[in-house]
Amino acid sequence: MRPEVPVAAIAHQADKLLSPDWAKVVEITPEAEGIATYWLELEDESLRQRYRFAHGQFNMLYIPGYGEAAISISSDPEKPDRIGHTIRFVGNVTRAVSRLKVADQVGLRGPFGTAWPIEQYKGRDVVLSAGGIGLAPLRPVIYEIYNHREDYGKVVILYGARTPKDLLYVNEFPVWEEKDIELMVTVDRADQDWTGQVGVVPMLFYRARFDTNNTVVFSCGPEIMMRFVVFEGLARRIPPEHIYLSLERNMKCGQGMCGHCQMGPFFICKDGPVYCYEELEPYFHLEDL
Amino acid sequence: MKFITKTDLSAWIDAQITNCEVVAPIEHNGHYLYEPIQSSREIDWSFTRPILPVKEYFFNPTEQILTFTKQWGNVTIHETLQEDQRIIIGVRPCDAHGLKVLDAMFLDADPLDPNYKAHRDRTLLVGFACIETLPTCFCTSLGEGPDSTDGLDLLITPINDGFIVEPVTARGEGLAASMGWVDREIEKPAPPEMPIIPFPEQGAWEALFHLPIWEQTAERCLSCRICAYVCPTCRCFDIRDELIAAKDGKQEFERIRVWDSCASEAYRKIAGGHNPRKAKAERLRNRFYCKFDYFPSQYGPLACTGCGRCIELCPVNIDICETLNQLAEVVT
Repeated sequence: MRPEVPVAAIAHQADKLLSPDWAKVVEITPEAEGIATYWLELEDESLRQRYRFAHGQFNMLYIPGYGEAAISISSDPEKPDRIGHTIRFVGNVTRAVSRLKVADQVGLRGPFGTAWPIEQYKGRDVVLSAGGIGLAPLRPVIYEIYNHREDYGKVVILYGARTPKDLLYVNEFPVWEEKDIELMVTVDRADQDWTGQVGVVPMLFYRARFDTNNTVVFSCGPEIMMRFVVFEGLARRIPPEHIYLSLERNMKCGQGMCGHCQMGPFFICKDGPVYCYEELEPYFHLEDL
Repeated sequence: MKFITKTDLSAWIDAQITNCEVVAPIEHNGHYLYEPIQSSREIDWSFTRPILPVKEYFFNPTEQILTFTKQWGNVTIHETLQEDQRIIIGVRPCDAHGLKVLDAMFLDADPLDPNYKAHRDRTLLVGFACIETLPTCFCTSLGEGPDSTDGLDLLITPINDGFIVEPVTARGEGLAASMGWVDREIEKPAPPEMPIIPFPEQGAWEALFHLPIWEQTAERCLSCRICAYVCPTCRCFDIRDELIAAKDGKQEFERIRVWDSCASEAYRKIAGGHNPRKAKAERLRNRFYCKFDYFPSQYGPLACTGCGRCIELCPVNIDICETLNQLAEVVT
């Protein structure tokens, strides 16, 4: 049987199956080449006031005529009236998103999934390790720490991207560092101006300093990266119940019905995307599950 | 026992046709199909197992969920739910069992599936007990039998000169009340027997994950997905947007949900190209694991009813019983 995992309560559930609510794009922030943050406001006044989400949950964004894509929420859960989604333009739907302008309409269902249990780790050290667009679902956690910095111990962000041009939220890096959030950044391929680290994200563990007896690790990125993050975490005697991962699969319905995101006995959209590694351990090593 | 002659039953069916939609097994090009009928004469009374389960009337192969009209940037949604009553006649016990399995995931879920529920609420199920079985039948291995009433509103058992009528639910009582049956002392015929197929217990599957059986069996698999489409419990779906031909300057879209299957290569592909179940052996293995391990742990019931359709229709003779036998041998 599944061990009891701390999961944030879903504050808002769509009451209609597969039928979206409408939101307006209020601002578009370009983040990197082919990546931008879309700030959405629900059009329905009462819905906008009721809407709540937790760190790490996702919405299904819908472009009529193109379809839906599962996009994690990357904004501050304390400001739920303005929902930010950092989107990389790679698929059919996200390419249609890239053609949106301010004041355009987007369908929205959500929020879905489990959340990072950050509030249970008050007083502890926090390691956030992200690869590429994987920083987006962790940004709500960064907001939480930023807003309540005194509640947490040492905070280290281990972040990597393919090239320096692909790094997200670079303008916010100094703001985070001001609040004593340590940031270690690495890239796979450097360019002429890059003076930082070159290499993969798990390698940053060798430079990071934190109290391993009292640390929680949150990770999101390519699965191969997370495998090694888990490896590095366990090697530092961080127990599996204090390592959390956010997984990605093809998702269609977001409610554990359509079957696409089934991974073993889990539906990533409902039982995930955030998993405690302890719960995931029997399945995570099985490739092509 | 309530007994009804064929003439009276046909007359009753014809009376129902004037009130509501009636679906019954007909013969078409050598296959049996559940189709809406206009007269009881269309029914093929000698039907065995229709090629598609009654699942298609609850979880449609293609179902419109919503339509959108887009004009000057404004989108209007129209939801489409049907409510008119419908009777399905000749439901086999294995298909009724299949609906119970689907209920566990579509109705017991939170939130539940409104389309499936609407179809379930508006449909009455008149079952037909099997008096003979096909070589591919193995429903008794899955806990049901050829005369099971589970999930049906009313069960009809064919005997020599007519039918035995057994109401199961209150709705079935209502149906039986309008039938012209007579009380008669009759012995219900014993249900036909079939071989018991052994299969590994739910906890035993973990050890079977890396067996060479999967690779060997999948060698001839074509990933054609017929096994999923004819399965009474397979319920994966895709959601698509289609453009309806434009009318007077409006752009109209429909959102449809269509059957999908984990045997398809594109099933799990995600943007960026990562495909976590690329090889067909992995996809075939998933079909077995879903039915006998994952589905029971997620929803309760085993997701197989022993109807045997996937065995009969697989173009390369992949036999679920054969594979289950092999797996059971490994376990013991």
